[in-house]
Amino acid sequence: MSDRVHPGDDVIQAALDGRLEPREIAALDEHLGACADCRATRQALAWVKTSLRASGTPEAPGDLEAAVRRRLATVADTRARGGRRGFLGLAAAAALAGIATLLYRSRWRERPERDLPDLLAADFTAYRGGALSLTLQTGDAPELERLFREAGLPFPARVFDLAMMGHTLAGGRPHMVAGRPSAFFAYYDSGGRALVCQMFPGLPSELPEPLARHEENGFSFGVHARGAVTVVVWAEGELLCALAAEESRADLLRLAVAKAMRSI
Amino acid sequence: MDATRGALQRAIEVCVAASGFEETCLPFTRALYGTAVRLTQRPEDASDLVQETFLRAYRGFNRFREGSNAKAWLFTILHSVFVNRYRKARREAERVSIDDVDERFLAARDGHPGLAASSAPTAAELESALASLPEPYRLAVLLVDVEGFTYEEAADCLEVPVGTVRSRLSRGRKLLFVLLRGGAGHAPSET
Repeated sequence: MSDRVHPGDDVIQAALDGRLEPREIAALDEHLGACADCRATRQALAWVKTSLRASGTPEAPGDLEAAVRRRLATVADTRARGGRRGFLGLAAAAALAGIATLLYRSRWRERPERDLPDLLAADFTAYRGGALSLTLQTGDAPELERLFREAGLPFPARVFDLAMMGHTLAGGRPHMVAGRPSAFFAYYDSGGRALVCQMFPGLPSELPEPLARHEENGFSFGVHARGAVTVVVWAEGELLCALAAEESRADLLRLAVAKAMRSI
Repeated sequence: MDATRGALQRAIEVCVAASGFEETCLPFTRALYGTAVRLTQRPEDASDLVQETFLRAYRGFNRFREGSNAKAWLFTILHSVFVNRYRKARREAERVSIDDVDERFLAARDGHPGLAASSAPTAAELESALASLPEPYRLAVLLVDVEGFTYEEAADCLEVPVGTVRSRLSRGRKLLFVLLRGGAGHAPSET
């Protein structure tokens, strides 16, 4: 590129935006070294680009994200009302559990390496690491139950206050586990450690053999370990309930028993 | 059984949407708002525009392919909502002319040899200049220079050819330089 033939401004712009090949960059640089006019053009355009990039983004109002979540919840509620109309009581709930089991088993055959305790432990880890957020942050159990109803979960999700057991409710989210809807809610203890509870349609026969089993008041609690995460799973009617945490197996089992007793 | 299966499927769809949408999309709230307020020039309109963008995205989330560019997808929706709802409704503010931009750019350029980093415009100067920029040029510089989109991504967002983005970007940058350093009546004097 000669210093007598100026490159177009589009070439200078392309160089600024990283859209030239090395050979083209070398030719442009050679020209710029000898042409004050083109150097000035590049400098002016670069100044604008740098100023824009440095300007950043205006701060959004603090309540904007909450407003978005409220409007999304309204849409979810509208959808869910359509979904709930198809349910016809307990018979439908039983059929739902059967279908969910079939869906789960068909997925399980495709991915035999992931069983239910795997998935529950992974959800706990994702929540604790910030990859799973809570749709509603609240310490009010009835408010969280209302969220699950409005989200269209096809079963009643009862959220228990575990304050007497040293755990504070943090909130919850409509979730999916093993291809089926789940009520996901989280607690934290006095040390800030997380505890996750999930309730979803399923059958005890879907679970692998636990490390330990505990029978109490007609409930059968299976204790599973996945890395540092302990998962305790038990059945309440047509639902499977699970607690997952990095707590001792005995402590988590005590919490599971306390929660199950309150469902009676 | 079919009714139950259908109900289950709808419940699954609701939960899938709720469980994936927020993590994928809400991190871009600030970026969307930043562009929205620079387009509408009114914070309340910008908030409405962002909310409407998220609602439309939520309704269409089942068509969003996991792993694709969520930010570009959201900005495409933002632009579409803006064009259909806000651009028609609001009163267009007075904009500077794009006529003779090349000549005006050269004049401004030659009046400011050796721009130093210390001469960077203030935030107020830049916002004022952006507000004066005709909308197509403003959108191009916002998407490419502020949000970091490629020409191709910006072209998809704006539903125009890549060459149009290139042209608008060139003119937009030159006009901003004129506004900021050319004494066009909009830019404050250099200190």
